[in-house]
Amino acid sequence: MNNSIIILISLVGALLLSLIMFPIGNYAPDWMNLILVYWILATPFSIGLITSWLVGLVADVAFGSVLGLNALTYTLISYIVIKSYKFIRYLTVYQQSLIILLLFLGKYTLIIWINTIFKNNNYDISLYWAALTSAIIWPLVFYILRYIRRKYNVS
Amino acid sequence: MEPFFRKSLKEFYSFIFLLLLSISTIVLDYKYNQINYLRSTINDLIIYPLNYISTVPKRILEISLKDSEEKSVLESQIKELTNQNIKLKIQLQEYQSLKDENARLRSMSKKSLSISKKQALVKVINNNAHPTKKVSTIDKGRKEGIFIGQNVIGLKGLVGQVIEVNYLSSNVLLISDLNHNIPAQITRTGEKILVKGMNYNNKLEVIFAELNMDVRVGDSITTSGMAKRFKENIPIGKVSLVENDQDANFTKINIVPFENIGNSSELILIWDYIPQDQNE
Repeated sequence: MNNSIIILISLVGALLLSLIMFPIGNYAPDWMNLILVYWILATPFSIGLITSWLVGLVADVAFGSVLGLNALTYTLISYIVIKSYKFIRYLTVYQQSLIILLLFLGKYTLIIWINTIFKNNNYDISLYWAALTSAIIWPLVFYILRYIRRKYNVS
Repeated sequence: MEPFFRKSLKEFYSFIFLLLLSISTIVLDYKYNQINYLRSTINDLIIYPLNYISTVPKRILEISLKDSEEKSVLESQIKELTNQNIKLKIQLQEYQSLKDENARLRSMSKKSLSISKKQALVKVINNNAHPTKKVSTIDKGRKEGIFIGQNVIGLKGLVGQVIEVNYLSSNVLLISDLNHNIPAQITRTGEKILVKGMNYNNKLEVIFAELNMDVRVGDSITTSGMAKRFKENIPIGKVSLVENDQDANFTKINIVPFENIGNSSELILIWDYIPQDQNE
């Protein structure tokens, strides 16, 4: 019970951060996805694929993309991380940043592809900046969330 | 020991199911607009309150700035505004006579005249509602009877159109968005053109303009009312650049909009014009 409340609060905070950072456009990191990845790595059984899908749906509405697009990519990333969390969680934080960079590059490629299919030219190559900033900000997210997790004893 | 083999298969199935679900929602949303109520529910329940919270610091700053303004500044402002009001009233008289004359002429040629009767002033909650699109969120929604496609103007000219209506708020697509085209005309010649957004707040471009078209810097551009998307004769902007490169296929024309698009705090909605939806 306690766990899910803390996770929910962190996700709402991530959404708020995203909303605040909309004016800088594609340079803003994808906070919600980073926090999902953190909780999956830290407590693999607390967040499932369905939670990721629902968070993705909310992200779709917030970002104004086609409904289901971010749900798809969030589910995909969550699945990959759930399958390989035993490997990723023992890497150092900076190696994890590289993994995040790779995952997010793949994710934004998928997003650009799908938007190209729908002839939506709002999304272009500059979307890849978000992958880079997300990877750069990952250590910060990691340490802050680890502090929160230890303080409130989320497991 | 955890039975990871069975668990992994279960997760695999749910993964496949969710993938199919997302693909179907993408197709439904793109093709048929069937699940708009889902979007507006999420918007009303989650995004709108958070949006409201996220603008709290800005509003506090604005209020404190307003409170700290000097009395003399306010007095001079009032003076200026009364002067402006008198000037506008004089202009309005001239305009009234012109309007009557226009109505008389039109009744002779048996064409209907449309004058805006009902207008609504709305507040902008968020000027950057989406990271990649040029969309503003306004503080009125289905509750006040706002509909999709409604024309949105500012004090000086066209701003955009409503693309998404929720119960409490709605989203306005600005004309500076990359995917936004306006059927327009040059007022001096009456020539029909197509104006496209460029993702900049103070720059629009004309696409598919013929070479050696009769257009000059300073010409004003208004909506033409073609395609029944925007009301006729809403001012858009002024031509700022004409480049006739004989090697290119089209003339390059840039327009500076009258309205400061994407920076306005208040917008006006038009009620008497209902755009006709033509399914693409």
